[in-house]
Amino acid sequence: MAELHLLGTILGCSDFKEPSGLFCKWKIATGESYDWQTLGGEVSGCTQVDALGGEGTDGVWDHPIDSHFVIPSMIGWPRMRVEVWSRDSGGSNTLCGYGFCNIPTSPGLHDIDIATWVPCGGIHERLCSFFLGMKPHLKDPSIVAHTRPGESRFGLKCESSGVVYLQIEVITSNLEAQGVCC
Amino acid sequence: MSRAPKIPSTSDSSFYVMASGQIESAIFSGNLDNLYCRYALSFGNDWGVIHGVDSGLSQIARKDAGSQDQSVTWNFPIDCTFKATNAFGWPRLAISVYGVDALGRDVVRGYGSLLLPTSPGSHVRYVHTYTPMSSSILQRFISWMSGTHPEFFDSKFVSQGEGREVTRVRNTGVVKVTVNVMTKGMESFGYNSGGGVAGSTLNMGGSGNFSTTGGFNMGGPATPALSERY
Amino acid sequence: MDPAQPFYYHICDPMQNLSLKVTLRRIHGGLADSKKQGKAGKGKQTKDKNKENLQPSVLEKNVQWQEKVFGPREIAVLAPSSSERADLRSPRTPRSKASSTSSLGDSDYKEALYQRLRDGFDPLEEVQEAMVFTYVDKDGFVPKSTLQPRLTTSNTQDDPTFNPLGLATATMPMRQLPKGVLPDSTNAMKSHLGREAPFKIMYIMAAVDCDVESIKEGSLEKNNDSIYGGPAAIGGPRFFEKVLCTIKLYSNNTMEATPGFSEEEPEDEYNPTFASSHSLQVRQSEGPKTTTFRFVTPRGSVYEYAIENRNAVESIVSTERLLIEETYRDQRKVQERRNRRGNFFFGKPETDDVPYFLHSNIEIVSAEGFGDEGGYLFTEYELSMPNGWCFATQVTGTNWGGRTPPDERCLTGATHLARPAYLKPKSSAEAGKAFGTTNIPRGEDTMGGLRSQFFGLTLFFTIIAGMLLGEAYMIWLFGALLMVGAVMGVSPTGQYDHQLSDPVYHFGYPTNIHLAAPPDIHTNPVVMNSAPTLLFQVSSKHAFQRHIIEGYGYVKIPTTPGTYEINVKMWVPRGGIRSEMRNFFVGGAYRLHDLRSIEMPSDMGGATFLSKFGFRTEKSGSLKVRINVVTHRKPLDTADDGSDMGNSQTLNQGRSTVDDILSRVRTNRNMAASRGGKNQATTPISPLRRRSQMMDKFTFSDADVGTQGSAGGEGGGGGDGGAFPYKTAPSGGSTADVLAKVRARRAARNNKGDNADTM
Repeated sequence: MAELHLLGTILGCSDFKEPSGLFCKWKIATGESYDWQTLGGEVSGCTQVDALGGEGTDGVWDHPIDSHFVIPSMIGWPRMRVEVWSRDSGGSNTLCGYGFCNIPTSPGLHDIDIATWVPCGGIHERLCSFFLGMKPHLKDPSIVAHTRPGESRFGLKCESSGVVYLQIEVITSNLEAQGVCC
Repeated sequence: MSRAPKIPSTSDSSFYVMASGQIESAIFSGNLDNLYCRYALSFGNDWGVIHGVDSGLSQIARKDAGSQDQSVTWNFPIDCTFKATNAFGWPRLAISVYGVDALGRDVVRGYGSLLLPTSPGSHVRYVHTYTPMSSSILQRFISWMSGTHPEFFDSKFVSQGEGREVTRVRNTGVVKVTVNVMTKGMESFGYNSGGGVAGSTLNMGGSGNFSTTGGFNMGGPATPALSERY
Repeated sequence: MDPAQPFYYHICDPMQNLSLKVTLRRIHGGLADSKKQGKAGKGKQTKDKNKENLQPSVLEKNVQWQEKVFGPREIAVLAPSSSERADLRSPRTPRSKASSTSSLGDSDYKEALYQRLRDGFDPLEEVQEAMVFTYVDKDGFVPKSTLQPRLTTSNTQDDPTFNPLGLATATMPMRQLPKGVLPDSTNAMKSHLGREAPFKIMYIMAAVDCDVESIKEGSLEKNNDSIYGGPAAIGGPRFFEKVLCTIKLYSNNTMEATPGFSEEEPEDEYNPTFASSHSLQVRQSEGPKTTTFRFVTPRGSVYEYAIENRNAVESIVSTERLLIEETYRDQRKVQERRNRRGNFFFGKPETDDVPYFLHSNIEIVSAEGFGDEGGYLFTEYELSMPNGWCFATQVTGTNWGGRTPPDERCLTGATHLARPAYLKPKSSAEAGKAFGTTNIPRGEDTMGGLRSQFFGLTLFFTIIAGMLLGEAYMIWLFGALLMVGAVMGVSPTGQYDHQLSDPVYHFGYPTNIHLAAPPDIHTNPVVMNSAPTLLFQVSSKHAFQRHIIEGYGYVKIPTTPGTYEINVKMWVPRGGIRSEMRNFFVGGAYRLHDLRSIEMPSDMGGATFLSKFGFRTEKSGSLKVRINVVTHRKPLDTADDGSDMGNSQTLNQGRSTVDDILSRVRTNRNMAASRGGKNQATTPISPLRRRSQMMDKFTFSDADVGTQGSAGGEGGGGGDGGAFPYKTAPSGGSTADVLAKVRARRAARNNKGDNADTM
C-alpha cells in the first residue's frame, strides 16, 4: 500500500579513459525476494551516445528517470545499476565500467556519484583489450548490485574507472502510515 | 427550497504544484553569441495545467562585449501551476537553445531537459545541453556549410527516455535555471517529498537553498552530527 | 483591460461550442457625417439632416469558432462582376475561374458568393457602412502590427531577422501574402517554430467608415480604385479594417484571446465593492456593465466594441457542479490506482518487545588518500553488534509474506581488488560546468610519499655523479631524461597524470543489514546509545602475495533515519624500523588480532576507562561509505490483515461527508426530541420541524382520530390510511412520536371496533 516515486536524471559521466562515444545502460534493480510491482515508467533503458569527447570534457546523457513502484516491504529497496559502454565509429561497443548505487531512502533531492570499475585480466587479456577492444565482462552483471550472502568479491581484480552522475528525487507515499520513518 | 450542492473536499483527490522561476543565462562552448531559447513543459497523463503557459520563446541575447564573462543572459520567466492526481509524470522542462550564426542563419545550439524540483523551496539547476550529431564527417561539413544542422523533430523528445539509444550527440554548453516550487495538498495525499514543513497544507520550503553541488539531503527529524570517528 | 494584452484560457468543452457576441457601437462620426460636412463646407447641420443618419448605431453579431463572415473587401473582390452576373443568368453557368485580380481568397469563397447570387441574395447588399466580419485560419491574414512589431522606441527599422518574436507569432500558411514581405530565413524560422507549436487562428474584424456606393460600384466593375480608394486627397480609403479580437487555439487546449473576452465590470469605478441604488437600477434595467474597447478611425470616427462569451458559465451553482464532477472524477482515478497497488506491506514488527527494525542499505563507495604502489587495494568489513541487537530475520512471528527474506546474516565481507583511477580535478562549481564537483578529490599540488622522494633523490645523485664524473660517462643524460619525464608528468605507473591528482580506488560494494533493536532501547540508558558498528580493514595486495595493511577505521550505524555519506578516516599502526622492513618485504605486519579493538576492545579486563596509550599509529587514507537508514516501527492503527484501513477511511469520509453529517444531524434531532419536550427549547428548530410540530397541533387527538377511523370504514389491520386527515405525512416528525401515535390509534380503534362489532 505504500508507493515509491523515483524522479531524476542520469546527468552524465566523467573521467573515463575512452571519453568519446560513451553511453550507459541502466537498470533499477529491486529486491530479489519480493516483487516490486511497477505502476508506471521504465525500470531499465539505454542513454544516448555522447559522440565527441576529449580530455577534460564530460559525457552528457541527461537521461530522464521516472519510475513508480509499489513497496511490498522495506527489504529489497531498489538499487541503480549502470554499465558504461563506448561505441566507436565502427559501431562496436567496448565495456568501460560497471557501477551501482543504492537509491536513497529519505525523500528529497540526492546528487550521487556512482563509482565505476571494470574487470581486468592478466597480461594476455590486457593485450587483447588493447588491440581488439575485448575486455573481460562479468558473466552475470547482476552481481554488481547484489552480493549473495556468504559471497565475497575478493579475488576479482578490477581497474577503477570513471564516475557516473545521478540526480534523483525520491517521493514516498503512505510509508508513515506503515510505521516507517525515512 | 433547493440548496446548492456541497463541494466535497479535494484533499484526497488531487494536489497542486506551482512552479515559477526563470531561465537565467547560458554559457556555450566556442563563444557562441546571439542565442535565444524556448522551453516547453511536458508532463504525464495525470497532470493538467490550470494556470500559466507551458511553453515560451525568449528574446535574442548577446554576450557582454567588454567583460570576461562568457555567458548570455535571458532572465526568461517560467510560471505554471499544475493539478495532478499522481506524482508519476512529474513535469519536465525541455529547453532548446537556438542561435543566429555569422551568416544570419538560424541554427540549433543545444537541447536539454530539467525535472522540476519536487520539494518546495528555491532551487538552482544547471542543465547541460547537447546537439544531435551527423553520422559522418562529410555530413557534418555539409551541414556546417549550409547551416542546416540536424535537429530533433520534436523538442519534447529530450524529456523522455524512449528511443534515446540511437541518437548521437555532442556536448555544447550549460544553461542555468532557477525555479521556486510550492506544493499544496501533497501531505494529505500521502506523499512525502522531503523539504518543507510537514503538516501544513501550503509548503513554501523551509530549508533554504538546494543546489546541485550540495551533498545529501538529510531527511529525518533530527540531524545527527555523525561523521568520521577517530 | 489593455486591448493589446493577451488572455489565456484553458478549454474544457469542444471548440465548436465557442460562441461570441460582438457588439459594435458608433459613438461619433461616421462616413455620412463627414461627407455631408465636406460638401456643405461650413456645414449647416440642421436637425433634419441628422435624421438621415439612420444607420443603426449599435451592431450586434454572433460569431462561432472558425465561422467565415465576409467583409466588404472580400465581397467586393470576390463577388461576381456585372459581366459575370450576366453569365449567371444563362442556363449553363460557367465554373468560376480564378481571375488575376483575386490574389486573395480561395475559389471556395468565390463559389459561395456565386451560389448566394444564384439563390437570389445579392452579396453586395450586405455591405454596410459598419460591418463585423471574420478572417479564419485558412485565409492566411496577417495584420500589419505583427509584421513590424516595435518592442523598443528605437526608430531604426530593425532587420526582421533579429526580431523573430513578432514574426514567429504570425499565422501560417502564408501562401496569400505577396512575396518580399518577409525574408526567407524568417520563413524558415517561423515554419520551424510553427511546426512544433501549431495553432489555429481566427480574427474578428470590423470594417467601418465603408463607402458603400463606391465599393458596390467597384465590385461590379472590378475596379480596384473604387474598392480600395486612394490617398486621402482624392477620397481616401473606402473602408477601414480594424482587428477587434485575435483568437488562437493551441494544440494543448489553451486558447489565447487578445483582448480577453469582456467581463462584468462594476458600475462605479471608484467604489466597486458597494453598489448604490441608482447603479442597481441601471443594472436591473439595462444589464451589467461590460468591458468595452475603443478605437479611432483615420477619418476621426470613434467606435467602441465588446466581445462576450455567450456560453460562459454564469451562475455559481453551475460552476460548483462542474467542480464537483471534476473532483469525483479525480477521486475515482485515485481509488482505482489504490486498488491496483494492493493492500499488503510485509515485514512489520508484530511484537512489542521489538521497538523497531533498523534497515540500513550500505555501500562502500571508494577509497582515497592511499598511495599507489602498484598493488591492488581491497577492504574487509565486520559488523559488531552489541548486546540485545539481533537480525530482523531472527525475530519470530514477523509476517514476511510467505517468502523468505534473503538470509543476509553475514557479519563479514570483502570487496574486490581495485587498481586506482586518477580523476581530473574539476573547475569550480560556480561555473556549473561540471557535475557534482564536491565529491571529486582535488589534485594536490605536490607529489607526496615515496614516489616524490624517489624522484628527488635519483635526480640529486645523478646530477652529482654527472658533475663529478664529467660528460664522458653520460650519467647527466639519465638525469636530464628523468627531469624531462617528471616535467611531462610520466609516472612509473605509465599513466598520464595531468595535474598529479590523488589515486582513487572504486569499490562499489553493496551490503544490506536488517536488524532488530533491543527491547529496552528506549528505557535503558546503557542500551540507548548502543548501535551496531561496522569495522573496516583496508589492505593492499602486491606481487609475491604480499598483503600490507593500509588502514583501520570504524563507523557506527546511525539509528536516526536518513541518508548519510561518511568519510571514514583511517589510521595504520606503525612500529620500529624492523617492523617496517618486514612489512615492506614480506607483508602482514600490524594486523590486529581482533577487529573490535578498532573501536573498543571486547575484553577490557575490568578496567573502567579505555586507554590506548602506547599504540603508535599514522594517518592513512579515507574510505567513503554511504548508509541509508530506515526505522520501521509497529504502525499505530492496523487491522490484523494489514489492510489499508487508515487511508480508505479518510477517502470515504471525504465522499460521504455530506450524507453522514445530514443523517447524523437527523438522528441527533430525533434523539433529542424523543427525550422529551424540555429539550426542544434548547435545540434549534428548523422550519421543517416547526411545520411538523404545527401539524401535530392541528392533527386530531388520538381519541378523535380513533373515532374518525372507525366511523370512516373498516379499520381492518393496521391500515391507518384514513387516520390522518392530511394526505402527506409531516416529514419532520420523530419516529418515536409517530410510532406512539400509531399504537395509540390502533388501540383506540380496536376498542371502538369492539364496540362497533358489538353494535
